[in-house]
Amino acid sequence: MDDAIILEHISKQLGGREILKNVSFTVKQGDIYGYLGPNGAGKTTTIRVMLGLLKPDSGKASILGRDATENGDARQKVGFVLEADGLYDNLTTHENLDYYCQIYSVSPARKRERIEEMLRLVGLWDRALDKVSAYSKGMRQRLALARAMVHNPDILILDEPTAGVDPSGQIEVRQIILDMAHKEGKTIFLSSHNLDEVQRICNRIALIDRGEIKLYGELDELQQKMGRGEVVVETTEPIAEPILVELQSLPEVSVQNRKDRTLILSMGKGGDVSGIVTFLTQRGVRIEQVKRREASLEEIYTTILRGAEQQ
Amino acid sequence: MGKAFIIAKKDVKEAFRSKSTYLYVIFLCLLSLPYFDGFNSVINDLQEQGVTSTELRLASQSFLNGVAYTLPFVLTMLICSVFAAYAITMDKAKRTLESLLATPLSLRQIWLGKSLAVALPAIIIALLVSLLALLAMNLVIVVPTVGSFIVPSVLSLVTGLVIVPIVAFSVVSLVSFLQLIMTNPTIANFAFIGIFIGIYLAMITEWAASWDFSFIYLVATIFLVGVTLFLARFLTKERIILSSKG
Repeated sequence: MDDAIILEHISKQLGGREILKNVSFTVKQGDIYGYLGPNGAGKTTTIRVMLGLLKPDSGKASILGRDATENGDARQKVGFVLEADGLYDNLTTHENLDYYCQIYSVSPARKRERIEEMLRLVGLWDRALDKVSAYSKGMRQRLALARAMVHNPDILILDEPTAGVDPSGQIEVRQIILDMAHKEGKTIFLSSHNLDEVQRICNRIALIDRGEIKLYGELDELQQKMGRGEVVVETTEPIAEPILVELQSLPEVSVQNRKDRTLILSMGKGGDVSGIVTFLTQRGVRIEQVKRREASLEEIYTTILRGAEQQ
Repeated sequence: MGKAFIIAKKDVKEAFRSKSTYLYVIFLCLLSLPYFDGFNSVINDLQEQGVTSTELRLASQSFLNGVAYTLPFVLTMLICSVFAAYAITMDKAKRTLESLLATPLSLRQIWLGKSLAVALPAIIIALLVSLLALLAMNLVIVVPTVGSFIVPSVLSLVTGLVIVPIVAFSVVSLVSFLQLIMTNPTIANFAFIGIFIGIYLAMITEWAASWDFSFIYLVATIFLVGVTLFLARFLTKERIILSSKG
């Protein structure tokens, strides 16, 4: 798979403060990439570098193989929703999209079709002639997403697209993002501090804190890697106490939690899941399911950030 | 240039969506009324002194030349300050400018588009109002007094209709630059007043009294274009972004 966005050793100082420190990551085409971090971590600055709004002091940012900091062509392939939605209140929904179609040189014939397509996708086609000033935050974000897509870019860069949106609006916005990724085949770079949102829709993440990338990779792999080796065993009947005492004596195994038919075991490095299964079945325990317990994104996030604070 | 016109068209459309734009423009156009009063007083004084019709005609011609030289300039500058509030000040405050900067448009296209959005409607309105004022002065004062229409001199008309718009555009380009890079772009609006007063004072000083109006305007244009071109090298997207709130 080709790379959509590459940031290599980006550093940026603003007002004497180092906002980005040697930031590097790669977003592959087709990714829904979550860019996580607390407020002030450097997320917006990273996006501004990617969009050529800020020039890095060192390092290189490229979009689809083109230098993002210099090249206007690179930005032709990108759609974006920034922290401020960038919509014109005194213009109508249709006029806002029409303006951006003209900026991106969408042909007049294609323009009409594309505006309708996008407004239908975000559920605002019946409000096409309404002024944007009358819109709720959720509607504005949906329209901003339509505007970002109107010139059919390959990549979407979204800076906290659900910030300030009510829960039902957040669900709608998330669904639109998923549709854009799956139906339109777009690569999505999503900056957020909403962990639930990132966990729901992203396949890869990077975590930034105080300008430094603390962690990046496939979300599934990170969750498994940081799952602290816990194993969840579900049985048909609650396990008898003597069996549990005996289980504790196995090397590298300790019982973490037990509730009805569910047992959570902590495994050391030499722990063997198949050994546990054999041990239990030999004692007449009928097992329904055995699975490794993955770390939630929240656990990963807090572990990394706490670690950084302690340093 | 095409993209700059797209920006200008959108900004002008947005400005005219607001009722306050109409109110401000109408109010500023009413500033041409003192010219009527002044002209009327001059004619009355001359008639009381019993001057000949040839002298009356010459005085009227001279006054109308003065109107053609100054009214388009005064109105253009004042109306520009209204449109500047929409094109850049509001764009920065609402951070819509940041989105525009993230598109493939170049900084020069955006700057030119914003300058056109401010200067074009102001020039068109100012010229229309000035031509209407000249027509009305003829109909109300000149024709009843001297018996026929008096057209201002060719030089004054060329200055009013051609040179003044060039001056206005060079002032707007400079002010737009200041608005783009200043944290508080409203302050840059004062540059309109400052440049306006500067040029106006230059006209009424003894030093410039022997100079022609059109010459003063041309000198001002060359100076402003020089300053703007010099400053243009300092205009970057980063400077604009960092001067915006948020």
